[in-house]
Amino acid sequence: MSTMRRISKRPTVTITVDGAPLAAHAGDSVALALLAAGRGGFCADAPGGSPRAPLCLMGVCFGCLADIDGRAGEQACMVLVRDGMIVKTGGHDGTG
Amino acid sequence: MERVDVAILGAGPAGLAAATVAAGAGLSTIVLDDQGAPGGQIWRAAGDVTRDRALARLLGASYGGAMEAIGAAQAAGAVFHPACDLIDANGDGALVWLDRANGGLREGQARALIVATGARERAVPFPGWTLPGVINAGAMQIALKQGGAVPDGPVVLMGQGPLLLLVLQQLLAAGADLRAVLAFDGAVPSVPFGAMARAVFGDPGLVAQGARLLLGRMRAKVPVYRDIANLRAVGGDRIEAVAFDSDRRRQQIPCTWLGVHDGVIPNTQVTQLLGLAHRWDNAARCLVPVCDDLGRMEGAPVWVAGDGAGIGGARLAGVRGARAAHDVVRALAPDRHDAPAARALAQTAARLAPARALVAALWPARDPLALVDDDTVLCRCEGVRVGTVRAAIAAGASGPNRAKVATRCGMGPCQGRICGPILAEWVARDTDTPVGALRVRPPLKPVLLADYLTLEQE
Amino acid sequence: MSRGADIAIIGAGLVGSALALGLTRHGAQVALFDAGGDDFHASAGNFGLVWVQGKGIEAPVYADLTRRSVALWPAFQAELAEATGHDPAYRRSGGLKIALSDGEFATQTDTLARLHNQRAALNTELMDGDSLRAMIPALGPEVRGGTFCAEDGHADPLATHAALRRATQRAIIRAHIHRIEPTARGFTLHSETGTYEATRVVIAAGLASDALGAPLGLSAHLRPQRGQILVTQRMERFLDLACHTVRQTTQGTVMMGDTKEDVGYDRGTTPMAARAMVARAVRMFPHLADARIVRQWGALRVMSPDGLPVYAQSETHPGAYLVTCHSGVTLAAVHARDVADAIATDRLTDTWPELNQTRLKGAAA
Repeated sequence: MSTMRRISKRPTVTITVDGAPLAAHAGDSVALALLAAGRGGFCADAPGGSPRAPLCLMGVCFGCLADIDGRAGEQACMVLVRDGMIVKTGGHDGTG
Repeated sequence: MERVDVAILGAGPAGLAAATVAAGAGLSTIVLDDQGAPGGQIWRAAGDVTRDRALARLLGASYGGAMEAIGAAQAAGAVFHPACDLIDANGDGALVWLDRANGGLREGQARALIVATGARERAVPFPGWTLPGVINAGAMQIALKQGGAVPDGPVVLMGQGPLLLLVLQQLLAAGADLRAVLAFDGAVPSVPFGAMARAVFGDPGLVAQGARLLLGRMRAKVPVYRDIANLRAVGGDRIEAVAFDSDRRRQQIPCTWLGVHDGVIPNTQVTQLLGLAHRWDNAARCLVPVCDDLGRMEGAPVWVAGDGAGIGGARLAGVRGARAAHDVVRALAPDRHDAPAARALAQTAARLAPARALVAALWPARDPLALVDDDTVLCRCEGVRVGTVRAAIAAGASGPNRAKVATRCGMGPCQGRICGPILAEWVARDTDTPVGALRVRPPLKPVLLADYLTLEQE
Repeated sequence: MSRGADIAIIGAGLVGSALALGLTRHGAQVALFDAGGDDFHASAGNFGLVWVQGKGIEAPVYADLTRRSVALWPAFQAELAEATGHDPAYRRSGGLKIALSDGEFATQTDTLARLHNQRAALNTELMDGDSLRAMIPALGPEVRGGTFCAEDGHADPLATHAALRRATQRAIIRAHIHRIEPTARGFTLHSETGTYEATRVVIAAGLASDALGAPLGLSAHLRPQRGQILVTQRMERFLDLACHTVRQTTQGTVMMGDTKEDVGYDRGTTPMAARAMVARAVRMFPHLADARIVRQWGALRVMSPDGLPVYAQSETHPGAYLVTCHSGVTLAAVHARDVADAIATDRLTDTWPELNQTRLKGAAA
């Protein structure tokens, strides 16, 4: 599985992704937290379409769209994790 | 409606230097950036990185001058608007942005605009590049800077350019399991002596850094493959291996991550949206804004600075940002124009230029379609494949915008940022016409309908 | 490439391509001139309605022409899809004009009563909000009512144009014709890259038509009228029928557009227009608030002084025609059939005398 390990110590932030808790590091973007946890292809290119994976992590590729705290289609790489944040993935263009 | 003298788009080295000069001359100055903290990509998460001992040791060299530049812009009185996505703008200096920190669309009106939106990595399409685990090498560095996150499992890097060499060193230092480098470039570049001498004389630091990185790749105990052909990322729902021909032999290397990089290109979204002139730089294979030495564009009170004005690297970016801002001061408040400082900056820019030219000569841009087949996805957002676009061009699509309406290539949420430059170059080549560009439309990033309703009505 | 043609058509947009398709069917040797460049102008910018409701008030000829085209659309679509593999995605879904207030609903009621006996109001019925919500569950509580016409529908304008281009591919010549010169045997067409001869010529060059037609005694007194359009990301399907200013495409994106602006040739956009269109769309369909706008653009409608199509046949230069309209999608089917037939048999003015240019004399002043 494509995961990432950490070489720096940061406080843990817990977010909820598709109903399940996910431990992230403070300072992570939502996209990085998902990628590091091995959840690469978390948005689809069309309703029922094939998965799309983040490419750039800097707001260019729109391959990381997710529903974040009720806002559909957010660029998950541009939003930093926050305790209690609710993320929905798997929909097309980040519709959760 | 926020009325200011100067609005600066982007808080990287160029934007921060520009803000320091403009605000320092007493002009009311705002700096918009889509990130939550200033620094741009090169100085991303500067505070976190410099405070964290492990990261500072690994990345610190890139952050020289970061805290000083951020502090100087703040001390000069520039107002930083973090987490703001520019949505719309026009040549009269009217701006609309989404304030993600506070919610809602905001409007601004500036007498001068300095566009310092930096660069993005050039897209490199190949079969399987949409598989999770395939990622830009620059994104691997972002993971490191932002979260101290290192790709786990076997890693392969592919491409060329200084950033790829830097990421190679940083990943090795971070203990990544690097299995191979698929190099687009040669082992030892050949450079004319004169060009090398000018570069060393003008910017010895940059040349030394480049030499260290090249040597680093040679010394790393990682196999380097060259003359890559028939490349494919192999896997089901994520990458499991990379397969390719090298020296006419088929290779297959298992990996969980493939980092790809083939240089960077300017972010021209804003200047294109403004309808200002751009030209195709044939050597660098990218679109660049047409501007004078100071970054001033024709037809609107707009200046460009930093990599967004044509790739120049971080050292030059700060100089170009400051020069643009001096010119803005000269235009808006001539009595406060610091001519000697502007002249000194011009000399610095001239001194740094040869080293930058050397970098460009060492890693010439490649054919962006070198690795595709007809089944390769070109437009990741809409899932449009190379063969579909090929058919549209054959059927008479005589420009990128015609190819776009015929295939939906470039119509998705990224609005052609990834596939657009490739499409434009391809159509031009096949139709023997000048390279165009996908038309940039508002909103610059997709906006919730609910957010539009927060715009104050006239 | 032959440099002589029976009929040259200047302009390869929706109008010119549809005429070319029809004229080719007559066995004529057709040359369809495409100015090239990177843009199809009006043909790539439009909204995609195939619409009859309210069209041709005080102009029964336009109401009839529109209905005729809508009747021809299914066969037109089938022909294009079969010949080219491109489906224009036409759906006779029914069309709805929504009223969001008592005032708007009262205006609709009055108009429909006044037009009761006119062909423009044929098969159009008034419906109240609850009946509409029963039909379209996504409609919000602010919808007061609307007028519904079962003959209305919509198509994908880009796919329609792509199919027409494919179908007429062999006739297309890439050249920007900037001057048409009458000669003893027909017309000489001048471009930067060469000249071409044709026995007859049809000008279908959108807003460039008047300049080309003037030396041939053809003028439609055209002016640009800007319409701004917004399009969302793809959404789950919620709307089959076309709502005049809001429609969901076959790809799932939602288009919104209802501005009519006289701003010359400025194809730009304004944030305030976006806000106004969004505000109305969200009142119609509240769940759109959670969707995202991906693009906003401006396109120029090709407007004649009375808003009707111009089917002009030159009196001074027989064999020269000018064809233009602002409803290139709706009328595509009739252009490819009846209008092409009338040109082929040189009976354009005889067939639609009310749409000839003579009606416009002095109108442009």
